[in-house]
Amino acid sequence: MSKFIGLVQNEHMKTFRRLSTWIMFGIAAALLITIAAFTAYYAEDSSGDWRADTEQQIQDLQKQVEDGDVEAAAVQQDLATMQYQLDQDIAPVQSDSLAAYMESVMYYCAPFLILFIAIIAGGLVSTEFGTGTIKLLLTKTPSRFSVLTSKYVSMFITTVIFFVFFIGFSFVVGGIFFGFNGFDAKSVIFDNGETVTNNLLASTIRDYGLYFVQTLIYATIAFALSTIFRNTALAIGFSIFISMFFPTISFILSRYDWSKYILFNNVDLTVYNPGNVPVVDGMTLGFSVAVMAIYFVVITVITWFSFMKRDVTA
Amino acid sequence: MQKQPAVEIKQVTKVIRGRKIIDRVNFSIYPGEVFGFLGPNGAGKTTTIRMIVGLMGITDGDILIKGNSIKTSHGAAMKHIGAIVENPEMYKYLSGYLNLVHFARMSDGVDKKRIDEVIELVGLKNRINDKVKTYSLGMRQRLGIAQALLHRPDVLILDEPTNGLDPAGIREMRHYIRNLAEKEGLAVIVSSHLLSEMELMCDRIGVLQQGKMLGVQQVHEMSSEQTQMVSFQVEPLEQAAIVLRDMGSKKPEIKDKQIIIELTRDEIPAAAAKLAKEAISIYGIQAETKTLEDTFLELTGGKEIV
Repeated sequence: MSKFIGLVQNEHMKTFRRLSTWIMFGIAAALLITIAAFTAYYAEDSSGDWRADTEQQIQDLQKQVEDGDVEAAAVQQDLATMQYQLDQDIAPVQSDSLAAYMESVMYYCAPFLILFIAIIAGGLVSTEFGTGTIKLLLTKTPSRFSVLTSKYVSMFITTVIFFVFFIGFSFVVGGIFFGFNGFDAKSVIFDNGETVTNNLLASTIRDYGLYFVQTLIYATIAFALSTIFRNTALAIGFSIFISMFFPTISFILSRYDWSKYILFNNVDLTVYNPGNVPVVDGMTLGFSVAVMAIYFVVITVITWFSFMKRDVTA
Repeated sequence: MQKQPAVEIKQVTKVIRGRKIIDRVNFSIYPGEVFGFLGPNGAGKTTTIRMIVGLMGITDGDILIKGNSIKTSHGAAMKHIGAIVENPEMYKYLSGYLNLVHFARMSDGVDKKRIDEVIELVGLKNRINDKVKTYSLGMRQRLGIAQALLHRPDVLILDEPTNGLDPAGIREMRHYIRNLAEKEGLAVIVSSHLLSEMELMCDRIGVLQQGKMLGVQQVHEMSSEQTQMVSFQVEPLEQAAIVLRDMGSKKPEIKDKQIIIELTRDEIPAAAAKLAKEAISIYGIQAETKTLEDTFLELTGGKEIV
């Protein structure tokens, strides 16, 4: 077991001694700081009375409906949400607050997490083939199974590190720009005809968790391509292509009931959050988790089998 | 000498896509000897080496390392092997030291002391904390050997160890390999297509062609049985040529003020005695060791060597 830990340590050393990994952290840090700066710069003046503002908005919307400019059904949700905020005395979340900033970072920067992890995972096995170091890696006592497993475990830990970095760094940057307060900021959500509230910080952390599952699926695909093709460019390029276009293609197919068995219609678990709807009617969280688990097992079995059985000619 | 072989290759066959790359190859390597693996490109040298270290599967037959089958007990077999397959490829963005730490973590019982010992052994002490990308090929080769020796293996496998080295480097490598075999009792497998190199380095040489082992021979046995080109620096030339007329299988040749004649090892002193008897001045006798190349060409049917 101590040798397996040594193998994981090795993989970590190789990942974090590479300049490219630190460039990714640098890009992420720059991105998060830029978003904070823009948010602070363009923030609306929030010194006014939010109750008066909200009441004004409700009146405006009602007037538009009466005039026939907008359909009543279209604004029904907004009206209900705003009325709920007035009734329950819940101030709308200001965009220049820590919680709102962290939430927008999650929405806009999470695709970068997939990108970064796909780049790391896509090179994990194939670079060893590319540089020929695979020959040294496989001519030692550890079995091929433990070599590949240590790489996957290292990839998993690297993914966790990236997520912790995003959450931690956006918290610190947000706190510096907008003050460490407003932890109880609540957003109002219209779910199934009912109006509910949720804590914005807590739901952001929850969404990171759900996004972690999605990232891990794409990382596993990149890892598999890297192992099977033994070519870094192909593995990274193809997995980024998959993460960008396959969800869209799958979504187009979502009018067919069978499309709920497509992996990419199941990876985004945030569709099961209050206020959201799944891709295909009748899909549940349990169903999506089961579909992902089946795909995961199939992909990993093929990957491990390919790595353990094939000749090394690099 | 009934020593237990360090490596036993038993009826090994490798089929890739229906083509027999290696055909029932059989040989053993004993502790303390340097075994040369000779053959033209594409003969299957690298494939055989890759099968010994478990990088390639074996279609039929088996390879035993200190009695452990590479097929069924990879870990136990690899414990005894240190190898460089083709080029000494290391992680270029890591320092030489971290590369060794990396491979030390993969082996049992390699501590910091052993790492320092090996660094000292290959003479990389001054540059060990530099990144490998700044190393010369010779230094990489040495780091590769350090990596292979780290876990105190009984068998050292070096694929083309002198490839790309300068003459001084080749000489150093040769000296080093002989030392490991003679002093440390390692069994060393070396592959090469540089014949003269092999002759100086190896105890036995196996010749492989088109996936078949054509024969395993003692290097010295090879040299004494075969004829070699001997040049005599003598005066006067014509008279000497007549004296040597009856010796050797071919007629003596006069070239560059020397007489060149093909003789066996035992015939050389006889020829010298004959010349001396006829009062011909001898300034020098030089044997050109082309024997191995000749043998090699004979064995491979005179086809291309490289």
